Amino acid sequence: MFDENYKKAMENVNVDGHTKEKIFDKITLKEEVNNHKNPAVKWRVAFACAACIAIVLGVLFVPKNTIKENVESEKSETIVSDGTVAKVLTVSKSYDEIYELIKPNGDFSVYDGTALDNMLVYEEETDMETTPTTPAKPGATTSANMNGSTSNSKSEVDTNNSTGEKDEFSNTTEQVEGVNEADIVKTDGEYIYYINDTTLSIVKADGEKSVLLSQTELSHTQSKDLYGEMFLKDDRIVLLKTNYYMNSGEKVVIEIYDITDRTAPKKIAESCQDGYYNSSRMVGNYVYLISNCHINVQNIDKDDPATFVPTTETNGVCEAVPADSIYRYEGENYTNQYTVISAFNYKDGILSDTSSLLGGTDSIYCSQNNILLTNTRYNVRENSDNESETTYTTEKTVVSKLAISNGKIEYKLSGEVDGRLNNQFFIDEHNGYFRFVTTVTKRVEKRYTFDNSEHQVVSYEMENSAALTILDSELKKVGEITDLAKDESVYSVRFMGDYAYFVTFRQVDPLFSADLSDPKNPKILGELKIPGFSEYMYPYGDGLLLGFGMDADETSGRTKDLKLSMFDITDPANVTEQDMTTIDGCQYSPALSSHKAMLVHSGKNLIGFAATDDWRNEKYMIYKYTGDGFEKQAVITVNDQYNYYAMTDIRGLFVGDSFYVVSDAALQVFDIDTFSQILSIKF
Amino acid sequence: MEYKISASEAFKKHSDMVYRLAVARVKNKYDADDILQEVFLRFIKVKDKVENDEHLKALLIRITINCSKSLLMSSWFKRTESLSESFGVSDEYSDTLDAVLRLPKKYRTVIHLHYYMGYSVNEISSILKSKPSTVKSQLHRARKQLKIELEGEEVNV
Repeated sequence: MFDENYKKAMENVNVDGHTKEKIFDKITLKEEVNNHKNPAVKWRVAFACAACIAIVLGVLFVPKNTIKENVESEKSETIVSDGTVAKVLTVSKSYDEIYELIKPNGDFSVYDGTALDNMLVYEEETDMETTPTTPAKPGATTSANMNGSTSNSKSEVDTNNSTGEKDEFSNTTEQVEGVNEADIVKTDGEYIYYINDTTLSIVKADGEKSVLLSQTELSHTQSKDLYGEMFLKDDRIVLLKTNYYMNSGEKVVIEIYDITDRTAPKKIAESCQDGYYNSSRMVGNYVYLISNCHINVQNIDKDDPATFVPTTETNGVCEAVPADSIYRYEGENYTNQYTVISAFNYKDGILSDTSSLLGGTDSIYCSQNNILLTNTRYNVRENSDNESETTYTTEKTVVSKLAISNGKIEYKLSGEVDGRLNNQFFIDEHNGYFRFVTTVTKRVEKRYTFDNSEHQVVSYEMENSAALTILDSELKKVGEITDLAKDESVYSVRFMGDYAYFVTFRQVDPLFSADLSDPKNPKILGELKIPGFSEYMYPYGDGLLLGFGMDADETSGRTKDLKLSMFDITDPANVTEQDMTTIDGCQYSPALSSHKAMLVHSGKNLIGFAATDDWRNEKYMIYKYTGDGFEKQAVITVNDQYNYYAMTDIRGLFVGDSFYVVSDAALQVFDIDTFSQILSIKF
Repeated sequence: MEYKISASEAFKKHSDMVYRLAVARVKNKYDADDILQEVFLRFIKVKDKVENDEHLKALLIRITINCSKSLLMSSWFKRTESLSESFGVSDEYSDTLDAVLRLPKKYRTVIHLHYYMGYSVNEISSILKSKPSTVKSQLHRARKQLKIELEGEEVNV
């Protein structure tokens, strides 16, 4: 048995006695020194514990008693697939129908994927450490999974140059104008708001006179609370986080804080929905929250829908999502996953609408009118015993479109594109068309039969390429370009109006430019090959595109240091790398996997990001671009190697004439011209 | 009901757990020794945030993973003899250990957390702060590879 053997083997893995003693002594000594330095902390912890117990009691008793039985809906209908690529998901008639899909089919292993192992025809390179992939995802802590689901679908700068960019202060960078994205730091030009795992801090942003106004302990249910993000609008902070409840699994909690009095924020409302946090957007007065929800099929009860469909809770009322708001992909046989999408008013946290799709969701794209949910699926091999050679694509991305308007969510229809997406920037909506760039993996399978044998020998090859697909508003394919960049994967995409730019990588990094002005006939305009690749691209003023990624060795493809590139895109047919610089000794930045960690402001000519060097010092780097090249403005040490712990997020922002660097430990204030430190406020 | 634990107590309790995870991640004794020390030194700074035993374990795991992620292994250790030998793992089990250590790092991590430490997919995802679906797919790709390596030996959930 594997697990027994592995455990037995591991029991022999021990640090030798002498070393262990030495380390123990060192730790004891260091701890003693530390205890004398820092006696004040404990009160706060005691308070936090007391608070968390109270909240647990308050919440846990609510669900079962207050569930409203949703009567089987009469108005529900089944919408049949029209046979083309675009499909409408089937709406569920009743909870019974859903129960049939969710309930265990005797073979429990189906639900954790083991039984699917034989069906999935999906392979990948075996040793990640010798292939030049995924430098942005150190260790196992972030998702470097190959099926296109990423954890980095969050926020970024505007699609269009200069729109939404203010010169008075920097905003959370966002993908689509008018669609707000959540982050851990927000500013309104007067105050800076920051949340970490435990605390909401508000600082008056006033250069050297900056002052910490309040620190509010956030309620905790469990140690297992996942990360939080927030929105800021008027006098409200909308806080989103995933809490873990012992008896009901994860819920995303949405908390509304009234911050009219910045020195004493007050929590005024709380709502929640099942699942763990996937993403969120704010359009107008509504926050749209998307969570992925797993049902524990061992504990389901046919007579209690709340045990097998997701629930939402608002105003203290817990309710199962109505059957007629649950959609499923046709041909779906079993799943224990839902995607839940709800709209909440930012002022009072009241739930205004909920919809749910059976199956999970990877990346999300949101415009002012539509939300696209994407889900990567594996194509199952068709029976090809008689054919000597078959070729098929291993993955497709199912796209579901939901219309949003003033807190109402309406599922419209679903479509498909070949291949997989990395993040939200692989998707764009423009003039009613939806555009996608994907990495497509083709599997070529050859079968050989020998005369005297019943057995067949099967050989196969995997081949990557990039594709650009354009769907119309009905999610029907109208145009595409396929088989680009053989053997390469797509790393980053930037759509800018009629043009698209995307970077693929294996050893050298071609930057493609494409003209999409005629959706039915997209054209590749140019291809620029340079070493390394960009993980993200940001418009930078007129005719410039900033790339942030890794440098790589041209022959081996092995990644080297972080790299900034400035591309000249004034002539999309002839894109050039105008300048580049590498950040020596730094191979990791949170901005490689989450662009929230990146500050790009062409108006103020500021490029800022956190970087970790080989010695694990965490620094914040600020560059500007002069036209002749990148110029390093400042290197700010945020955490040295001895302080470095857990995944502290670092953000840089500016308000007026001051630049602020916010981390778990402190808020540091700098002069925006000289970058000399003028103040540091410890959290 | 304040939960309190000193770093030295935590060390007594969990040094083996941390060390084994470190070995599974960095695949050599020398770096694992360093990581063991580093983890508990860092832990001193955050020990007041610990809420209960489970949290303590999860926190130590996260710090271990962090400590071992940016570590630059000198190539000298990379191709030395099997780790089973250096730890004196008996032949009966060394194949299994070596097969796991041949997996990519992120797979080794989830395999270790799941099969050695007994964490569920959801728990792993909350410790690693990644999505359950990610953990799940990493687990079953790892399993798939292990199956091939171990020639049909059953890898059960």
